[in-house]
Amino acid sequence: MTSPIMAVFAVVVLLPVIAALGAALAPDSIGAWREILSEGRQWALLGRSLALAGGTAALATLLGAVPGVLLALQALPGRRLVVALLVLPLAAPPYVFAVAWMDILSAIPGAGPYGLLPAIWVQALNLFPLVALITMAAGRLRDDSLEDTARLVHGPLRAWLTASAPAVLPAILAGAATVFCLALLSFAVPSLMQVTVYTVEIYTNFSAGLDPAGAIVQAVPLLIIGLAVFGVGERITRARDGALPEPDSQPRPWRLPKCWRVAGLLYCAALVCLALGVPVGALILRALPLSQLDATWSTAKEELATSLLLAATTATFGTLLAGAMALSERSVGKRLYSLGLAGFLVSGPVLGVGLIHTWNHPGLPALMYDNFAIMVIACLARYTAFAHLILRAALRRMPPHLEEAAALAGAGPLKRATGILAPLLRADLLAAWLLFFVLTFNELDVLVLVSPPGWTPLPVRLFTLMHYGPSQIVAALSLLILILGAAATATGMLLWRRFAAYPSPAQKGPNG
Amino acid sequence: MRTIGLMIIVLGLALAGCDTGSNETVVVYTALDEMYSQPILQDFEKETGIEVRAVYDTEAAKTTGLVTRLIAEQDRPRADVFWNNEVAQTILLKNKGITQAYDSPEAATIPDRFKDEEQHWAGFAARGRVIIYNTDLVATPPKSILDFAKPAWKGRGAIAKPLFGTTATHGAALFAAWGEEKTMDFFRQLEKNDVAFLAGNATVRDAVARGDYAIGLTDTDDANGGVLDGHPVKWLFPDQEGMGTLVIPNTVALIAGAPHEEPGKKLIDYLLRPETEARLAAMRSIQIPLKPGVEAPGDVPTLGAIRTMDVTFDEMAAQIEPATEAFGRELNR
Repeated sequence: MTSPIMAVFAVVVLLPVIAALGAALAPDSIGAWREILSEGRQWALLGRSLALAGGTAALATLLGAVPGVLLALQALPGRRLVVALLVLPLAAPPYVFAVAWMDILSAIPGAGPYGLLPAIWVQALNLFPLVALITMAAGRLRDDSLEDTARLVHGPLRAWLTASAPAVLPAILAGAATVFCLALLSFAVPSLMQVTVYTVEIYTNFSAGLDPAGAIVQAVPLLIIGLAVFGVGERITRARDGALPEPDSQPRPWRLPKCWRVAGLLYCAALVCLALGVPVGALILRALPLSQLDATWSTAKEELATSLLLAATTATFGTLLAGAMALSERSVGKRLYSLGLAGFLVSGPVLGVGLIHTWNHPGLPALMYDNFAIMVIACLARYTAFAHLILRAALRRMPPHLEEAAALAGAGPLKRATGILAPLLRADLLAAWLLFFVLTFNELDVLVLVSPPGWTPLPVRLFTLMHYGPSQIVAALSLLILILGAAATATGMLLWRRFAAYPSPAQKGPNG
Repeated sequence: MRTIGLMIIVLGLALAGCDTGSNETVVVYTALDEMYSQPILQDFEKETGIEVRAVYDTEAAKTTGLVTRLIAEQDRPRADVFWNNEVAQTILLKNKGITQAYDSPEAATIPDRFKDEEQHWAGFAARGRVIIYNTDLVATPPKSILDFAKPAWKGRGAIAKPLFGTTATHGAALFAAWGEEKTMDFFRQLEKNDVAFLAGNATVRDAVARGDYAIGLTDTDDANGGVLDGHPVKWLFPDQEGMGTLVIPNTVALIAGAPHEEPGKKLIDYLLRPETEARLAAMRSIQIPLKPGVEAPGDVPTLGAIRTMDVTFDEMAAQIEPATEAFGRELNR
C-alpha cells in the first residue's frame, strides 16, 4: 500500500534529480570532473562557498540561539508576539533585504555593498529566525520532573544545563545546519553582492559556457556537502530523541528575574529592528511617495495571484504527500525518502534542467509540463523533504497505542490517519503547510527555468525589475511582499494558537 | 494509503488542465527587458487577436534561463519565437539547430550586416557599448575602452563580468578583432589597474551613479536610464577615432519545430516593422533604429553617426565560447 506513495515520490522528487545528475556521469563530463578535482580555482571556490555558508550559520546561530532558548523556556512575556515578529524576516525573499542593505551599506563611509562579509550579514539576518524557531520547538522536550530533580542538588541554571539543555542544544545545531545548507545553496544574495561561490559559478557556466554538463558537475560538491550536513543533523536529532522521552505534560514556563526578562525582550526587539526595521525603513524611503503602492499593485497583481495560487496549491499537495511519506515510512522502515533532500541540494538551474528532461515529452508528461502543474511539481521536488522531516519527527512523538487500538477496532489506515493522527498533529501539519507556502512563494532559482508562458511568479517579476536597481517600484513591491508575508504570518499564528494545544493522550483518557 | 496516493495523482491531473490557451497563440521567449517588450507584445495581441504568451528574462538569469530552456526543450520546443536583446547567443542557437529559416518581408530593408544570410535571424533596434561616467567625479571622461587600463583610472573603473550578456559579446568582439593574446593581455591590465568586474551592466550603472566608481562600461539603455533617473552621470560612444563602438542589435528568430509556426511568423513580421523600431527608440532605452528612415526622438543616436567596430556577428559568435572560457578561467574568481 506504500507503492503509490513511493511512485509519486520517485516521479515528482527523484526522477528530475536523476535526470539532471545523469549528465554529470556522461562521458563528456570527464573534463569538468578533472577541472573540479585539479584546478586550484575550484578549491578556492569551494573554500569561499563554505566560508559564506559557515559564516552565515555561525552568525545566525549567535543571533538566534538566545531568543530561541528564551522562547523554549517560555521565559518571555508576549511570547506569541515575539515569535510572530521573529518569523517576519523569513516572509520575504532574501534578495529583497539584500537590495535594501546594499543601499544602506553604500551610504556608510568605509563600508561597501559587495563582498563576503556583507553577504554573510544579509543572509544571517534573514535566516536567524530558523535557528530561533527550531530551538523553540525543542522546548516541548523539556521535562519539569527532571529539572526539579536536578534542582535538588544544583542551582537553576546548572539544573537546566544538566536536565534540559540536552533537548535544546541539538535543536540549535539542527537550526545551524539548516541555515548552513540554505546559505550554501543561495544564489541571489551572493550574485547581487558579488561573491563568487558555487551557485553563482553554476549559473555562470550555464550562461557563459553553454556547457550544461560542466554546470551540473559543479552542483555535485554542493549535493555531497549538503547531504553530509543533513546527515549529521539527523544523527544528532535521533540521538536526542532516543535519550529524551516525550514528557507527559507541557513544561511550565521559567520564571526569570525581571531584569533578565526585560533584557531578553530588549534583545529580541533590537534583533527585529536590525533584521526588519532597518531594511524596511530603507525600502520605505526608496518607495516614497507611498501612493506608488497602488501603481505597484496594478503592475504585479497577476504575478502575485500566480504566486499565491502556486504557494497554496504546492503547500496543500506537498503536505499531503509529505504526510503520506511519513506514514508509509513507518511501515516500510526505509530512509529512501531522505533522498528527497537532493531535490533541494542540487542547485535551482540543475533541477530545472532535470525537470525539463523528465517532463517535456509528448503525451501525459506534456500535459503537466505545458501548464501550471509543472511549477507545482518543481516546488514539490525542491521542498517536500523539509515537510517530510517535520511530519516524520511529529509522528515519532506519537504514542503507538492509539493507532493500535483503532486498528484493533477495525479502522483502516486512512481512517486512522484522518481520524486520529491528523487531529493530534494539526499543529505540525500547519507548520509543514506554512513552511511549504513561504518557501514556494519565494522560490526563484528553479521557476525561472520552468515557468510556462503566462504564469510568471512574483519573485521572477521582482528580480526582473531589480535590473533597474533599487527603484521605487522594486522598493514598493518589496514592501507589498512584506505586508503580505506579515498577514500570512499573523494568520498562521492565529491558527497555530488554535491548533497547538499540547496533545496529551494520557491526560485526555480513553474518551478523549 | 493507496487512496491518498491516488488522490494526489488525480488532483495532479486536474491541475494540469489549467490551460487558458485560445485558438491562435504564439509563445515568445524574450530577453529584452519586460518593461520594453511587454507593451509591444500587448499591442501585437490587440492588433492581430493572437494571444501572446511571453516568458521574460530576469536579472538573475541574464538570458541563462531562456537559452538553457531553448536548448533543453530542443526535442519538443515550447517557444515559437526567440526575441533576444543581443546577437551572439542567437547565432549559437542557430548553430545548434534550435532555429529555422524564415525570410520575413519586413527584413528586406534591414542592412545586410544586421541579418543572417541564411534567414535564421534578423536584427533591429540596437544598443551601443558605451562609457558611463559620474559627472561629480570626472571632469574629462576617457574616450576609449583602452583608457580603463591607464594609471589615471586605477581603481576607479567598473565593467560587467565578460561572461554573459552584451559584455560577453563585447569580449568576443575583441577576440575577433584583436585575437586572444592581445585581448587577454588587455583584461589582465584591467585587473592590474583594479577595474572592478561587477555582476551586470545595470550594476555598473548603479555603482557609477552612486559614486562607487568614476567610470564604467555599459549599454546605452542602462546608461540612459541613469541619466533619466536624475543621477549625476553622462555617457559617450568610445573609440570614435579608433576601432569604433560595438553596436549590438536585438535579434528575432523562429524556433525549429515551433508549435505555432504561422503566428510566430506574424510576430516576427510585427517586430521587424519600422514602427516597432520607432517605439523602442522612443522608450527610455533609446534603442538605435537600423532601418533607414525610421523616426526617432532627437536624443536617439543614429546609426550613421556612430563609428562602429569592424567585426561581423558571425566572427563574434565564433569567439563566444573560447572567449568566455578564457575569461572564466582567468577572471571569474
